[in-house]
Amino acid sequence: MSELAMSTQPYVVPTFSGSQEDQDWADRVYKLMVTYGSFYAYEAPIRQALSNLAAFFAAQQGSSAEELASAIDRAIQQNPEVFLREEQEGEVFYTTSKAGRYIPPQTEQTHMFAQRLYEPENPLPVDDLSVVITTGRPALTTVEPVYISDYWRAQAEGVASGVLPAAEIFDDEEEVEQPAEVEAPAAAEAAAEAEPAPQTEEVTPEPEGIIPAITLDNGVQIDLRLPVDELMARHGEALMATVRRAIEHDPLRRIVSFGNDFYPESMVESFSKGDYRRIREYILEQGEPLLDTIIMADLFGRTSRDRDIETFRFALNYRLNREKDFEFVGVEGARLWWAKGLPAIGTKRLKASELGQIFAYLEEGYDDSLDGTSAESIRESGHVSRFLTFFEWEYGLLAFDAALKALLPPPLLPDQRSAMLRIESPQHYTSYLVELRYPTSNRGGWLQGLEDFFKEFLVPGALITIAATEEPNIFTLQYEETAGEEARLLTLDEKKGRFAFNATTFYCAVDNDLLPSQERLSRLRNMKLLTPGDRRRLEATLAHVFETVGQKQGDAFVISLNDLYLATNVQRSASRPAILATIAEDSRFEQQDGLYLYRPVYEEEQEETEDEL
Amino acid sequence: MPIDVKNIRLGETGMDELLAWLRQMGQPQRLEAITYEYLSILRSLVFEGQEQV
Repeated sequence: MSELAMSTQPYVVPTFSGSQEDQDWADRVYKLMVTYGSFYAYEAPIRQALSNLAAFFAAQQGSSAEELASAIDRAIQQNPEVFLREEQEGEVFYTTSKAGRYIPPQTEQTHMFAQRLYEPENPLPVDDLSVVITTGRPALTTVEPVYISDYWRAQAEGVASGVLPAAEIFDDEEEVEQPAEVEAPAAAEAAAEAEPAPQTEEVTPEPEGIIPAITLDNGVQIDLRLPVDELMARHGEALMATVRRAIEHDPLRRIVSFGNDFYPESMVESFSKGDYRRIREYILEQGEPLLDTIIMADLFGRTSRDRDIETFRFALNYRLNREKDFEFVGVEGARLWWAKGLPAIGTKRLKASELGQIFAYLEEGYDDSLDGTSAESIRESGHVSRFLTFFEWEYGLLAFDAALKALLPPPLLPDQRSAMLRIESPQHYTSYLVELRYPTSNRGGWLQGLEDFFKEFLVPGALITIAATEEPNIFTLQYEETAGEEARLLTLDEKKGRFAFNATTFYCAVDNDLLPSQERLSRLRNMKLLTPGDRRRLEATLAHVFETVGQKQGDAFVISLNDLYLATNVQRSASRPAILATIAEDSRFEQQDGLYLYRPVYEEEQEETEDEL
Repeated sequence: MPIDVKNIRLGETGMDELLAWLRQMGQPQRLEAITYEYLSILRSLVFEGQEQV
């Protein structure tokens, strides 16, 4: 049991040493100090100066403080176990506590929490990246960097981005890797005299046999000693593709992009749900996709005079592209936005998936639209001419073949599905909003939305010319007008699924071989409209064409290629190379003397053949 | 202190410098300009202090 608990006092009463006078003074000083520190903790130090004590007692006794100070100090020095005596700058201080002695404070630092956290008892090896931890939270918690084994990193360093012997550097042009010194001395001197090379074009010496090279995505290694201008001139496309991929694969997504524009994510302005609602309502109110510049001007009051217009424009496009209620349907230079709820464009009689499969031959290598011309000449001239097929005319479509690819703008975004273009008719002062469906890996592309124009002004077989304008998303469609011509042309009665010839007067130049007239090929009306499933399969379409339009000779049906092409393109779109390739692959078809034969294999025969086998 | 070219990782090395440049420009930049600047940054990191003036 402690001394304090046994005592009635809230402090320990120690036993003092020295003479009786010294003990009296020590007792009086001790009681005075514990009274002063009555609210102190039990072991908390109570500190007092000798001068203060002497002055206090002198006032009580009416004697000299100096005389009392010497008596007090003598008594205190006789009891060092109770009082701690210190001298600071000529002043004497005493320290004690209610425990009857001075207890110096002790700080326990042998098991601090912070120390235990940073110096674990069994630390993990820090050479493994996967055990490195950070005390900060990652900027994006949803995107986790993928840890790649050190083994593969070491392999990659040796093969891809590392230092390779000079002889192993690969390039498409040998002279690329040749140092500047190997140029003809005379030519080099002349060039140096004519125009001094900028400092950045100086070639920095490297250790012999080692070339500082980085590897691009296409496998080409580029020498970093070459000037940036030269690297861009030689490998610009590959470099840009590599840099784009590198930025897009940054796990922290510090730089974001829209099309070919890049900006720090942290500086991209955000929009509220109310903003998105206003934009969507405005697009629906206008009834067609709107340009970003119109949205900015009409809803946000932003015009080209604003200093931050480009930053705001980037933010608008970048944010809208991440919203599910909006779809980008623009092209480079005309950024159009479609909103959920807008009416569909083009024919509803055929599904997009069916059309994609019908036009798949364009992506399978059977596109003959560049026969007799080239993509370069189309780009230079800015227009392309073609004949309409019955299928295109009937449904208001145009096959997005290589010729149109050379003329129409490519998708701006990698996952862009379609683009909205405006086709103007200078001859009739009308314009049409058409949808360009871009091809995917195994589906072809097409334009749709020209049904009204085709039906009103043109007939199948008409020659049309599509030309670019100054606006990247606006094109013109023209045809050669002629005096009225009458003919009985093929028409489709979709309700009955049959074809018929009707008297028609048309005023456009046509290719008579492609004009589906009764005079040209009366057997066309024997066809019935095939189901979408049969139309998707070219061999099924060809078989039906042979049986209905071809001439029967024995057990076979015979038809010329021109008639076959004309009739097939009534049912669906198909190029001559696609038709010929299908005929070559199927044993039921064969070619004889410039004509094509089809021998149908009926089910009974087929079963017998199978039984024999 | 120049870095060893074998330590360059496209998309990691020099990204902080590219980000700082992009911030300094104050408006979105085209892919060509970004690529040009990134190449310049990589070159300066590899040849820092070694450029012949």
